[in-house]
Amino acid sequence: MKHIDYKLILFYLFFVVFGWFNINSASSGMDADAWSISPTAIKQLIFIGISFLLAIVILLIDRNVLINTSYLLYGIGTVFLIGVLIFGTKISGARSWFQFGSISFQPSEFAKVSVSMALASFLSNYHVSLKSLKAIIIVCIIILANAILILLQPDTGSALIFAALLIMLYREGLPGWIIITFFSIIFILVAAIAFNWWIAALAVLVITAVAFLIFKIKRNLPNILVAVFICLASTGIAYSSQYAFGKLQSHQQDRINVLFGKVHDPKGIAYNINQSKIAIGSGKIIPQGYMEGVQTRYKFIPEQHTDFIFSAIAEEWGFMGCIGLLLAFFFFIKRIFMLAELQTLKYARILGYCLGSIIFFQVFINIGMVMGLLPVIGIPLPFFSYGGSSMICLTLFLFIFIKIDSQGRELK
Amino acid sequence: MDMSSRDFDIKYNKILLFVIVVLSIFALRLFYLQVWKGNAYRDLAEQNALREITVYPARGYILDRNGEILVQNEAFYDLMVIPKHMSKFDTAELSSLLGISKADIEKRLAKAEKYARRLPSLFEKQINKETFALLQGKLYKYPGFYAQTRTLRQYPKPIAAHVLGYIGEVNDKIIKDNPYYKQGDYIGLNGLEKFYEDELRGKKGKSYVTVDVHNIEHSIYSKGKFDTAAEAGFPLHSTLDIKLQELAEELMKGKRGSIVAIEPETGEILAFVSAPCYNPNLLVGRERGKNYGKLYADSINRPLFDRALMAQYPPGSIFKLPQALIALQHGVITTHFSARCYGKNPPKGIPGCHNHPNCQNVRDGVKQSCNPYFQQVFKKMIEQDIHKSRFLDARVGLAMWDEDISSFGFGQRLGIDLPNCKSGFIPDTSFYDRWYGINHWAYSNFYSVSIGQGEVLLVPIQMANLAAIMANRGYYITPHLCRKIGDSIPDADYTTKHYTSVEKKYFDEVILGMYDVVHAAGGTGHNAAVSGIDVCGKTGTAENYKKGIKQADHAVFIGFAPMNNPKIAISVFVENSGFGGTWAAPIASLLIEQYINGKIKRADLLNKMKK
Repeated sequence: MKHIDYKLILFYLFFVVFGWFNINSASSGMDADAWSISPTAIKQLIFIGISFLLAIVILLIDRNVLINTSYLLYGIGTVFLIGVLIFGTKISGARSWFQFGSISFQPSEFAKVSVSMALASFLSNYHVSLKSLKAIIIVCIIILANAILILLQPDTGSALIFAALLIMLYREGLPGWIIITFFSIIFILVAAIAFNWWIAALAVLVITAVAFLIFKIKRNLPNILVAVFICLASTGIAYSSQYAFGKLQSHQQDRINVLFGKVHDPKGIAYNINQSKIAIGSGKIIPQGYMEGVQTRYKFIPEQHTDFIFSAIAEEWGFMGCIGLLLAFFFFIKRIFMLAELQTLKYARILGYCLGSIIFFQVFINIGMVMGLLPVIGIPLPFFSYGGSSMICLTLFLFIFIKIDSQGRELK
Repeated sequence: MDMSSRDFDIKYNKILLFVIVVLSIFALRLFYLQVWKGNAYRDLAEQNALREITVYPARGYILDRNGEILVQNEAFYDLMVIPKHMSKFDTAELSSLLGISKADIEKRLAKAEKYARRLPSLFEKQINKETFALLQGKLYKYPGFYAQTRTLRQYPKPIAAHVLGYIGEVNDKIIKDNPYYKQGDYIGLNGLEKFYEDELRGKKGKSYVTVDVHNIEHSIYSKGKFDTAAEAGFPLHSTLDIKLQELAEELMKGKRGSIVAIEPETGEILAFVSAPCYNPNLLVGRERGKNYGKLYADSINRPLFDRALMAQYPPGSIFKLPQALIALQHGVITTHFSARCYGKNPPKGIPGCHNHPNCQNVRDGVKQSCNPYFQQVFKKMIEQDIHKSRFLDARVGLAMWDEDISSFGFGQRLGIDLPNCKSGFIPDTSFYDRWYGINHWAYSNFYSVSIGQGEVLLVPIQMANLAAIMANRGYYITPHLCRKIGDSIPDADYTTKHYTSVEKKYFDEVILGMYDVVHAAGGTGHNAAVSGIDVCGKTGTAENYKKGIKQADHAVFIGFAPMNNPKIAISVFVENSGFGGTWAAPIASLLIEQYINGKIKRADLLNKMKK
């Protein structure tokens, strides 16, 4: 136990405790005083308790047991995802939840852990190289099998999280061009949705030209072929994006439209973002303090204790608090990546990168969204947003990594 | 292995660089929102959550001259409902508690629901204390319902409606003209309530509360640091004597007309009645609209019409008093002026009269109220032989007379502190020029003015004021109803003596005549006598026509008492009741008795007059 990385645990405890206070502030009755605890906060306290118990249990299990159950867990996770499509309860249009009485569980949160473990298992095989097409295809299957099931719920946000794994894959040697391709497609998609197909087409031409120049200088023929492929594929996407956009859920259309200011507040969708920006801005520099935020106190931000929890933090803790929080996340993520680098076991390194990437990506999407920089996508802020599934699964993920790391140090 | 480990480090650094870039963009964004635009966003947040609440002041009470309450405030309760907070309840019980039908309850709830689910709607307004006492204990059974107190006017005694006036909700025009008022505010619409609106209403206060996203109020903002308290309206100390007023209204029951009693020395109005009257409590509360409609629609009795200020009558014989005074002042007669009376069948150009001995002097003329006598007096005034032409002579005479008669406050609005007052009418040269053509008129055209008939019209308040002028021997203070409001006197005019153009010395003889009217044999106003009090008076009987048909005469009596050091001046006007001595004089005497003696001994007369 003495090899456990206590710094990570301290970060974790700080996030959870600070997060809990913000949930209480955001969910408390409007006339509540500083000592009152809202029912939501009590529920979150139970989730935190379960998470702590789970963390202790994980620390008691031998790491090889954990590593060896990777595929099993992936299988269970996949069965959950299939099951939820059949037996799940529909909440606000998506069949993402198992509901047992008052307890509900979101299998897509668990999938983040199980997919990461399965990828770590697969990629840690000594003969597997991400330079090979076969390996890439298997990786794609592992990820997409779950991502597509999640998209079917439909829960675009949770499915999008798997894009975070590109960071891990890049670290593990996935060629840069695949990542470039991926982001190009994303860029063109968004451009096509936000503007017009011909602007997107122009973007394609520019990207193609740049890619072509880069690869021409490198004189690498396969890459030129890849560039041509990018060009053709993205042009096709650009042309079909108008059609694809029509297939998106209407609230997603609105969200993307609002982000780019294409439609001015069509159905009050911008309301959330607008109120959230007011809350963040009104936090000013110096912290106002716990339960002192006007916007938070009087419930001007719907769903504030879940996806919009950062606005409560920003309003009550000001610029100073926010910078502190960003720094805390940075050092937390940096420590995870650093520990991952130090692992002798390839499985452990890959799992560490998965963990760091997912946490970073969620922070990126969530805070970006709350500040009005990114479209409104329902992704929780790790350890801060209210919700049992996210809290428990991320705790599980973190402590599996801590356990594997600590046992690795014992062997050194 | 070396190569790959170096490779790893580079990627590790690249990944960290990416993380740093993203988080730096976020930090910049936060800087923009919180530091650069922080003040603006803080303002927006406060605008979101701060609500200004109006705190209503208590309206000033209205008291009588002895401090007894005429108008007070009474708490009523409005039952409000917030549909969102409602749950199933016993409709039958609520229906019986409030006395409204189940169907009506459903209808009101549907309306509230339609208006706003989260906001309070008025469910039932102005529930009285008794009903509310029953409801209060059971309110817990009706979640979503709550009571809000409001104050309304309440009149302990149902008197003085025309003086007090009434309040009502402001309309759009008032709101547009005066930004002080907001929808749902009350404003004085008539009477003292209207005239002293600014003083009575007090000053609204402001309170800032925080509201949530559903516009529901929560706590007081900043512990009330920015709040301003409401200032209660000033109490209005009126000049009315509640006992006298009550008696006067009782005496006028079933009659049409008016009574105005004034304290001559101060111009303070002691009683002010316009009959038929109405109960001021009718214009308060839930039935207000219905009751107002009824009163308004009563075109026969016209209870809302203030006869004391708005009805203009020919004054009849009481007008002989200023006629005598003006003639004496101008020296066209002396106190020993005498004139022959022709009785009921006079020659052309002389008015008819009742049978009485010829008047030997002014005192006698007043006592007997001889028409030919005053025809002669006025003739002396109008035809002063300044011009050879009787037309031009009458013009000069009338112009002089006009100036003098105006000094009695006739033909002009008296500055009473009530919103509406008519001026009456005094004919002048330009009037007759228009009527007959320039200089085509002479004394013979308007001699009936001499006895208060013809073109001259007075308002009852002016008649009472005439009584006060007589009592004061030559001056009046503008009659008014407010002694003080708060601690201040409402108007400097209410302490200013307005002198008539007639000197004090000329009054004595006329007043002796008024004394004889009541006390001497052959006087026309014996019925005005009160034993132990020297009452001076003058009866009048005004002929009047309605659509060209002669109606029963209006009876009028003006007087004051006691003769020396008068305490009360009064006018009693009873429409279509015949000779002034029959009804008007005894009513005046009872009021004089009540005011001076504090009680009435003549119960039989009282009962006779009340019927």
